Amino acid sequence: MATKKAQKKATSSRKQAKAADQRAESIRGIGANVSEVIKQAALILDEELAAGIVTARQMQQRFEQERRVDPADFKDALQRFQRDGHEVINVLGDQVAELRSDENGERVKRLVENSHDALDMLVEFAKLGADVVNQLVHANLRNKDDAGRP
Amino acid sequence: MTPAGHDRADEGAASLPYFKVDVDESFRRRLAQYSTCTTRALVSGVPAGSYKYLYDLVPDYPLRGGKGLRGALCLAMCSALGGKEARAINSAIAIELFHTGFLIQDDVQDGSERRRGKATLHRKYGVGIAVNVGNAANLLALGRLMANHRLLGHRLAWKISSETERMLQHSLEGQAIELGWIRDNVCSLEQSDYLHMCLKKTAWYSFIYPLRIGALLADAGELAQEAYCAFGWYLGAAFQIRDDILNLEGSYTRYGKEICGDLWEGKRTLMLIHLLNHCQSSDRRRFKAFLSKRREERTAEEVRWLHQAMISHGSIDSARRIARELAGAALIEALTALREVPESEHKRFILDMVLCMSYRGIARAVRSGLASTSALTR
Repeated sequence: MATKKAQKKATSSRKQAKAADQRAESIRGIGANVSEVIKQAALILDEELAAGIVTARQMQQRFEQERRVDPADFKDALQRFQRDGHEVINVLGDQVAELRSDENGERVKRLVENSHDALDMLVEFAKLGADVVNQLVHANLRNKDDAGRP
Repeated sequence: MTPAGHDRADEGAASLPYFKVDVDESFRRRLAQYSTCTTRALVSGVPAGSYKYLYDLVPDYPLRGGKGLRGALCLAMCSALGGKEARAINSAIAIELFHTGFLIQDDVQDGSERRRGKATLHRKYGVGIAVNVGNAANLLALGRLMANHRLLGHRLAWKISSETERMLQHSLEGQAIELGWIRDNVCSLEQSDYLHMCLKKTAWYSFIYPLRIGALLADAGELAQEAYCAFGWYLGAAFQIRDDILNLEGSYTRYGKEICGDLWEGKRTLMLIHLLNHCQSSDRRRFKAFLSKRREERTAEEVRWLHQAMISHGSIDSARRIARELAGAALIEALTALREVPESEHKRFILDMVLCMSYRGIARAVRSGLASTSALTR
């Protein structure tokens, strides 16, 4: 195991050195020979970039996860929907109320109240749905990670 | 070593076969435009009133005639690649605000006395206030990145935030390396150690980050992991080494900071590392003893002696040579990276910046270029 690791490390170092040489090669126009400091600088950059790729992959993963259901966006959208929905119900309620007779007045009032409750409940369900989706995404990623382990 | 971005001495003009125009003039004009635009928006976006010794002090450093190079680089890159400047303004301001925060905190950490010709913020208002103002600058930068979500959409804004996280990580790690060297009085350093620290502490946030953000904004978020890194890195390293040289050779009126301040602070510059690796062992022991002292325990005579030793051992000349090579490498990388980019004043500005680094001191161009920015203070 240790030998494999050492081999992998050596291969990675060789790759980095090669990349640095290529980078140094690309700036050979400066002089007949690229100086040691440029080769050194090129190697240092390559090492940092290689280390950064791991971080970048993690960031990308996070981005993709959070892009599926962005909780903040979702909440904002729902709140807007909820607010607008309530306004629509109120407007409808007012319009219906203009037409109401004494006997169906109570029924209209109840209908409007129920509509508000139904809308709130719908929004709550939607929020719950977002949480469920997020949990599924995380569970799926965990399973993938587990499957990838030796 | 302090973050890049200080005036430096002119180093003798050379002919510039690539450009027929006067580099200084073209560069100066564009820098003034970018810088004025960014600084004005930065100042107007600072919350007014309410809290004394907080937001009101954030524009202090930018209004001392800061060059605004980093924000300018972001705007120029975005425009050169066909992006709209208006879409890049939040990011350019955020870059300058982060830079302000770094400078304030860096001055505290290094115990620096002067910044851009005036007392450092902590000297003027105390360490507590300075640290808090540095944090406020970072807070305002964060606000600009948040504003990007509305302006650019979540996907691109997220990518910019990710680049910012990457930049902050490098900067803080670079700062930790340098502070650790001073704290532990590390004297067995090589050139490569310095370059590694310089890449992380200075080059990333000053050059790589602004270039990449500008490119991201223009390309709507599609950017390879390595894009513009080599260009920014060589430019940043050359810039920083020259800045360190100027700290030893410049005049106060030009530099705006105490001359030989890096020696007083025991900074592990390329010159110091060269000296420690090329002096006799008896001298090395004396240098090490000097570096083990606290700043206030060091004497002017010791600082002069160290300075003289750097000159006599060729440490400054060696650093100058390295800076020149790195600037040359930056020029090649810049020309390669921007080969397919159509000619424009923005592209020219970026190349001019490298040329200024390669062939001339940047100071003259920058000083006169910022006259309009300084006018904001009046």
